Amino acid sequence: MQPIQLISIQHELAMAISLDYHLEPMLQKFSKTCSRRLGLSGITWYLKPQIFDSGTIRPNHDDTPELYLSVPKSERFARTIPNDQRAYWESEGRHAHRLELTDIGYCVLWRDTKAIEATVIAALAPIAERLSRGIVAIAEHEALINANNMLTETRARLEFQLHHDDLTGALNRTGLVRDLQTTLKLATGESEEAFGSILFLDLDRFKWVNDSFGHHIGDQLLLAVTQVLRLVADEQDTIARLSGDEFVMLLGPIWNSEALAAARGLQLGTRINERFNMPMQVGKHQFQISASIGVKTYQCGKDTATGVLRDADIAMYQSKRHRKNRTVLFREDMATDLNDRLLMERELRNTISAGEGFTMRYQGQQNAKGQLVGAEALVRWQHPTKGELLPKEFITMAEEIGLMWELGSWIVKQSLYDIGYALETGVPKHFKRVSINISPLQIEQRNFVPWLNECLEKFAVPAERICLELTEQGFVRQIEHISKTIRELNALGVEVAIDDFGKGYSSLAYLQEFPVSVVKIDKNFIRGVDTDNRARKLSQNILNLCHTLGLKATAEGVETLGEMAILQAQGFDQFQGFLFSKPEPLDELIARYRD
Amino acid sequence: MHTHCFVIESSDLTALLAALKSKLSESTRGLIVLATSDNSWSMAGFEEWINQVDIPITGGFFPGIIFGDQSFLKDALVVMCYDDPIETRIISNLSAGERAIEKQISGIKPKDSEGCNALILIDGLSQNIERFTDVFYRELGESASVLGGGAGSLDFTQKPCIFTNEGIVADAALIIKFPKKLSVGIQHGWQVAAGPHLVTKSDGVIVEALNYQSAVQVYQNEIDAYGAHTLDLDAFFDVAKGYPLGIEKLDAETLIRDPIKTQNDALVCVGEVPENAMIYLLVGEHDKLIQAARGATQMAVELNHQTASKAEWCFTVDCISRVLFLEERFGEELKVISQSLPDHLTNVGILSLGEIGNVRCGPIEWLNKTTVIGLI
Repeated sequence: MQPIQLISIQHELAMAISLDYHLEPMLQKFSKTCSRRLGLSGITWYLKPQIFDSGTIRPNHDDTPELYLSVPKSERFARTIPNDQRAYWESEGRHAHRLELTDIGYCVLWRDTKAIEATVIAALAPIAERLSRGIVAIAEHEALINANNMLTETRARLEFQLHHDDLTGALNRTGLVRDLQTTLKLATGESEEAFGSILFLDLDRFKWVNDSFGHHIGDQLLLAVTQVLRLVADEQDTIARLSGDEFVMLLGPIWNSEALAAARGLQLGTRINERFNMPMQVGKHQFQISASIGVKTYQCGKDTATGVLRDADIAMYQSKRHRKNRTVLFREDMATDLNDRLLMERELRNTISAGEGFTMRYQGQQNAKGQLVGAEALVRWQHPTKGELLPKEFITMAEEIGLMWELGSWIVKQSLYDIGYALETGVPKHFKRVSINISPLQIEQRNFVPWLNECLEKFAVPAERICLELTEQGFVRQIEHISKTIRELNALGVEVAIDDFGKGYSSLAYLQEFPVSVVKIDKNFIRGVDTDNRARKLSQNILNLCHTLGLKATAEGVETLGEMAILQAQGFDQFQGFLFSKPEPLDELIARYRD
Repeated sequence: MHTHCFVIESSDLTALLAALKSKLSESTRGLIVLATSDNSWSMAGFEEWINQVDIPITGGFFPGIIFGDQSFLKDALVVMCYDDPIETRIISNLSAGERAIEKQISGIKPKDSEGCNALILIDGLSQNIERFTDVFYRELGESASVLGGGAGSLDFTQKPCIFTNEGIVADAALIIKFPKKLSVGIQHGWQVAAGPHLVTKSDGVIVEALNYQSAVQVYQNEIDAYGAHTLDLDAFFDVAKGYPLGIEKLDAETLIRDPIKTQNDALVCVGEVPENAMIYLLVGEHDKLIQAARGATQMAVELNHQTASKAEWCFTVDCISRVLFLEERFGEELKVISQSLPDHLTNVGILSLGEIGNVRCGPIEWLNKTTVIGLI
């Protein structure tokens, strides 16, 4: 072996050490060069695990080198390493040379045919020394890179979390505003005019799902909704979940006219509405969800993110107000409507807190003999400019602004006052009780029964003189708690009725599950019983069911003598409707029957 | 495994295929077909045939094919018939890079401790041939016995040249696996004429600097100094074909890299030349090359004697550049190969654009100007 050849081997191998900044690729490349140059059939690398901890090496640290890499891949190489630290051995017809890598492990050079000359092995010693340093440097470098990558990943994760919704992975409000702002600035000064649109989407009845079935199901429904939005959207459209059940879709800006942007927004909104017409499966539940959608177009370089979002929200609100599951394009006059609504909210708030401005009206309930057996208390808001408003015009608003408990308390107390007064002044012989509508929010209060008892005592009204009417919606929330509360009310002597049975989420299970006494059949089942055979059969079946379960049945919304005749014949226990009584002050109702 | 093979010559594809069909026995379950890339056949017609034939078929188009001690450069097929199914795997899109190759090769696992024994036919004008050999060696190199060569044509235009029943493709490698270990002998016979020189700058197949000087200049000076020829850069390959470069290896023949053209001050070679390698200028003598072919054959025969398995035929991968260099004496090379084989072995093979072999010392390599003999 000539010195020039030894030097060239050293040079080529030394230069191969720094061919990559990552350990495995570097060792792969070094192994390839080394195998070709030295005529090896393979190299196996054994490194101390500690070098991967932080890239630092503690000399003489008792750390057994472990197999790190075999080039080529081979289990046979690894199997044939002797326990002692001999520098050369033969195995299965192969020659093995162990090369120590100072402080960090060793490598084994495998060769067929014949062993490597001693002079070459000696020439490799400085290469091994350099290789050790190179491996440590790369390990340190990789440790640094890993730490940096972790930092970068953490930053990226935080950045993602900052701009995305944890549940759905869609953008959150911050992310949407960022993207919208970027979009609005994008085309500024670049193109003549660029338009896009945003869809503001609010799920109808989502709160009911959440309250009724729990947040777990609610979350799954939100995920399903997000999936639907992704399916109907184009790839470049942005989807964001702002909060709760509010979603926004950002489209464009890829249109050169506002009309095109509006058309695309409306078209997509309508597609979403149509898709929501189909029931949505969440676990074992199936929901018929709908969405109120507002569309607002924007022009790059002109509109602001805040303004666009506000206007889309207003359009959505208009959609929700008028009819659910539809898409509405923003118009300037909608802002006026919103202002009206805000004004009304403020007035309602003031009226509730002042406790003045509401009145109670009572609609009579009579038995089959035409005797007044009870009355339903109905609240009215005497609005200074709009006149007398019905509950459907402000109860939901009261719930939304969080003042239902206060308004409900006022209704209960005022009703008890009226009953107390009527009892004092005398009621007809067969008059038994007044029904008071109770919001689910009221009955869910932990201290509701003691509070009601206190009120009854305060107004000197016997518990037997009132009936609390709960809509079906009230029964599907906190089932166990509500059931317990009804039993306590029964124990107190208070009757409980299911109101508007059949109007909403009907479940016959409630009739059996809850200890109620009365079922008030919604007017939809009553309407036309005298003219429609099917309606007649339906009302009869519901009545039979109630009686089978030992429940009294009240027919609501009786308006004609024909209906009354049929319902009487079918055997309904009580009747309520404009045929006998429109809502009026209790004393006037009683006076009319007394007369 | 019962086998037989034959050669057919015809410029008429219909006649060629009819002759082929007539020579097949009913027991044939697989065909390896070696075809000349210089042919008069309709490629569409050929592809239609391989698509329709109900026997698994695999093979390629080469600058030349070998049967016995004869070579064929035009309108010929060598057909190797197997009575057992042949296990093949196509590695496609070689130019997609190492990762794509690795993904395809990592799915091939040797069935037993015998390792991967394979004939590799590869598009000789693909990018990344050496990424293929690197990955193959890395993933399957332990105990592998392989030989192979580059398909394509001497016009050096890349076109579909590897085929299976699925069709003819370019930029692909065909791995034909065999159940038994192959006995492989490799030699080239080119001799060191000058050097060594340090490769101070290179990038893949392009050698930019030797000894920190223009690679072309150093190469030209060395040829001029050798005295037999003067290198005219305008007719570079006319002279360069007789003066390949040899990369030094310990205890083995140099690894040849064939300079085929210049690019400014750089030499463009067939096969990569690693930076910091030591290279020599090589020269060829007809007798030494022919002697090397004998040596490669003897090496393969000797290896086969050491194994318990009996070879069924000899597969020769001989570089087409040896035909160009040896000219009329190339027939002697094939004769010495045949003469060096046991009587029962038929020699078949290819005249290739580059060769593949796993030398006994070192990894699986992409070779130039070399004779690779495999007893299968």
